Amino acid sequence: MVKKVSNWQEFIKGLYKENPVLVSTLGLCPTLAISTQTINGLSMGLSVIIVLTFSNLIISLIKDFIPNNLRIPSYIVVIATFVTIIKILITAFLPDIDKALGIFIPLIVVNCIILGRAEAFASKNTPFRSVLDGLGMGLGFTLVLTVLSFVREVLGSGTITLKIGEFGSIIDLAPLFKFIGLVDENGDKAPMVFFLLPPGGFLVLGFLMGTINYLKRNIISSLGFIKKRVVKSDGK
Amino acid sequence: MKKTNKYSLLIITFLSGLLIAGFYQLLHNQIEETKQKNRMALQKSFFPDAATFNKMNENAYEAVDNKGEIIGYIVYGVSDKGYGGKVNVIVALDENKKIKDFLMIEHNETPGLGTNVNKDYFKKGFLGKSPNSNELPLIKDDFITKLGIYPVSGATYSSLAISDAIIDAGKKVFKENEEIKLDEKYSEYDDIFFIMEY
Repeated sequence: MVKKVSNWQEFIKGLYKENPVLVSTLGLCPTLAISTQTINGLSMGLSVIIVLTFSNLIISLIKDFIPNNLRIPSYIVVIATFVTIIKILITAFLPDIDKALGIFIPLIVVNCIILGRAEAFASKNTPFRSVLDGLGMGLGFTLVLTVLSFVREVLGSGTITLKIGEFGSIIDLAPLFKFIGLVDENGDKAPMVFFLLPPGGFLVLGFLMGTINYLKRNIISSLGFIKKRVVKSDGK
Repeated sequence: MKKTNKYSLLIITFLSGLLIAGFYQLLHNQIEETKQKNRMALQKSFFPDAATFNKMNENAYEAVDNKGEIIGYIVYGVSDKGYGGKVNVIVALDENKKIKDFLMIEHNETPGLGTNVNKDYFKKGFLGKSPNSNELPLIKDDFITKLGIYPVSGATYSSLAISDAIIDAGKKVFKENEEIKLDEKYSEYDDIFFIMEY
């Protein structure tokens, strides 16, 4: 008996219910490595959305055409194609991002979120649903990365970087730090560099996971979201 | 139901190759342009007063200020003696062709070890020296005798590669006669050492 899932649910599940980072804990390597500046998290997330959506679409289109034992190499080729295109685009137009993300853009090829979605979803579903799934999962990933890098940057360097090339700006939070009293002996802001290092990343990620779990158990179930779905599937 | 094709991987790979080649063909001019822009920004960071950079040869540029005077030189040097292969160094020389600053770019050295050559405690030994093999280290012990610093600990190869790349850069900026003059100067020193030994 196949549970019927609406298109909207297919899209929204990536944001909280099956969030790739917070629930499935996939793709932690780039998550922890690059989330030290807000803009890095955002741009990495956007690259993953593009790659994930297109690779899901293509894999879903060609799934009947690929023999079963050739499927993994075929997926990798498709994913690698889109990653290479993204890499070319970023090198050409956004050299700052290219410098900041470095090796992690080519490494999207082996990002387990993308291969995971290809194997678990796109190879079994229609192209339209695969695109929705890709968009949702990508957005979930981007959301987590952005929040994570925002928190780490604010605590770790006391700035908010929202600058791509010549556009946008870097917001300095020095007045805020002085207001709270987080200053060194010279009166300059004294951010906690710990949060820029890997342990800080793990800590913030842990708190984020805890928050999501708390929300899931208390708030979302109290809204009747989960109950409704149980009733629905029972009725089938 | 499944209409699989045994040549599917071949077809996919072929199409992927075509797609990537197409994108590269469209954008490779843009990539070159961006690289050039970055290069200019990097050169400008060494000489903020420079108005233009005149090309001397493939790898050397003169930094010229608003009054038209040469305030320094930017030279790109390369060495293949790095721990991870090729090491590219951008060297800034002042108007007397002494080392003002340098930066390792485009390299394969170990992050956190070999990349420490860009740190100030290593750089300070090179400042004010001439970029030639007489004044710069060729072997490990030269760092102390010639520069008065230690090579980056754990990264002797990277340190030596930097020295080698700077010497290479020096060769590109000095004209033939200047190099000869330097050699003569050195032979004077040789005489002094010769006398001192006795």
